[in-house]
Amino acid sequence: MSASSLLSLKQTSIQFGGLKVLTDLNMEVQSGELVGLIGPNGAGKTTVFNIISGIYAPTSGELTFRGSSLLGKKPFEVSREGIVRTFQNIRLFSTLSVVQNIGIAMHKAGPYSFWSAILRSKKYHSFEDQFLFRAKELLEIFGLSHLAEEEAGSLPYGIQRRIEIIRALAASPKLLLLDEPAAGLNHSETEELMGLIQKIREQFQLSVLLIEHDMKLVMGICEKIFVLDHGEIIASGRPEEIQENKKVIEAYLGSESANV
Amino acid sequence: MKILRSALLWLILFSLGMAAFSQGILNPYQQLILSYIAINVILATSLNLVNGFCGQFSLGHAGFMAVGAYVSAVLSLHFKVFTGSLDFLNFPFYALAGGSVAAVAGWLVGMPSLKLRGDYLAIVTLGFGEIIRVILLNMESVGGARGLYGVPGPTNFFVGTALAFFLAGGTWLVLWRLTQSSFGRAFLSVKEDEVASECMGVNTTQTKVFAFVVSSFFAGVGGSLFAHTTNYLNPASFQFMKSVDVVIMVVLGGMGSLTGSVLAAIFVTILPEALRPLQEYTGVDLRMVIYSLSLILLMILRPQGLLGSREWNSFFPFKKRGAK
Repeated sequence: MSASSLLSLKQTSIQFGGLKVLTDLNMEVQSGELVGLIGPNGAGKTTVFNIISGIYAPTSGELTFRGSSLLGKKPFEVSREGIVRTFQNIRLFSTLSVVQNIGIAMHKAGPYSFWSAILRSKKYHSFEDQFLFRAKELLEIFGLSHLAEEEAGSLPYGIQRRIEIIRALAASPKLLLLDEPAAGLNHSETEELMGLIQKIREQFQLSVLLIEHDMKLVMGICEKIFVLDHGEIIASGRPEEIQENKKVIEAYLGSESANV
Repeated sequence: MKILRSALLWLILFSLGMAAFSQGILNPYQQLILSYIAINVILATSLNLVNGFCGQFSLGHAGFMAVGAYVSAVLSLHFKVFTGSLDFLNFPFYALAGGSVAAVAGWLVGMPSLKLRGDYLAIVTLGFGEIIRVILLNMESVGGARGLYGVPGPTNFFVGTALAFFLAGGTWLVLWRLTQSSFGRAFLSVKEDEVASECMGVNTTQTKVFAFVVSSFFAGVGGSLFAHTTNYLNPASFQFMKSVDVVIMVVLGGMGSLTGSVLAAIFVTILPEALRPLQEYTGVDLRMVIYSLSLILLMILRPQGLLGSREWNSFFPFKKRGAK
């Protein structure tokens, strides 16, 4: 489409042994867009995320972010490029405090050298102050300031989900990958989350790519949707188009389209 | 820099205080035990960096200790930088050299093995420790199985103890500041969840190798201190069981608690010695029985170790330094 393509996958495929999990994937995310990736269970959605974030290397095809290839990059390098993700099954550092969790995401900001840490130089102090300030700021946006010193793993599920998003934001992403952010959340929490995702996108000027099963959330906030089935993109377009797409209804929405 | 100076000042005062205490009150036997405590503190805290903070399992600490000990001993037999009344300043220099060579060994061992996840490190480090021991056993130039005699130590016992505690305190200071920094958070993230850590932009391999090299360095420093305290080295001192001893201290004190490692090092060093009189009464050597029983009991009652992952400052209500 336009020249401002942020992330693009071209003919990207991956196979594990003889099993083709993704076949010739073509996806594009423009900067500033909020894109949804949906599909029935086992369609390969999380695998797409794992490829983008560098955990798996695609067997063939291209993967570019802001014009440069991500192929062969390790997860931490991808993260440093500006793609940060959350996980379907929350992967917070559960025995560490919320602030420490956020601090780890800021570690890549290349804080200071070993010697600065040992000598507690100016650099050390300025980064530590800056990190605490930023952590506070982020927690405030989410209204979670009071939980700063709590052990992350001991918090309620819904809050852990939000903290995982905060942690991802602390890593200053340009593209945020959310893997089922609403999984396990109740109705009101999901509503809240929808507002939040839109809010952070504007506030942090991010692009968001999210995997979600909650159709209300996807149809409600996404500007573009990709539908994945059996490792292939079977449809893409605006939510209304997806809702009317026969293939999609067959593969996935069928019964659910009624209550969207 | 002002902070460094004051930290250094406190460190020197602390080591001189310990030396004065040991010189004034303790007999030579007790003074020796005090030196062993210093050595074990260095070994336990440094191993905790890898085993406790990073969640990797190293079983080769005795190997790195041996490297540091032999390098330091051989250097001290052939090489002197300071002479006369400044003679004791040679020993920190030897310790630095021993530590550095051990750090290089740590890098060589860590580079390939830390790329892998899981228990490979335990196997590789175990192998490394044995290789080092066997090499030393067959190196005639360092005495082979007979051992290396006449390793010079600080002639003045006052200086000796002060040096031991200077090195132990210095190790503590460096490790403490390291774990309280962004690097410390990165270490913990590797232990918690390597995949998540990597996705947050932490270069986990580099982080692990870094921790391992720092840990090996201090193992070498501990070895150097050991060499100059006992004045005699033998490959048998660096057997696999020595590594296990250090692991016991780390587990006992609590994985991820430097304070715990210090307490455990003191406990593990003193207990067998404190039980010595018992042997005189009963005529049977019950020391190891009681020692192991107390370890078993501790593990049953406090499986997370003495302090778990808490540090000394969590026991005092300090005001937290907030953001400006």
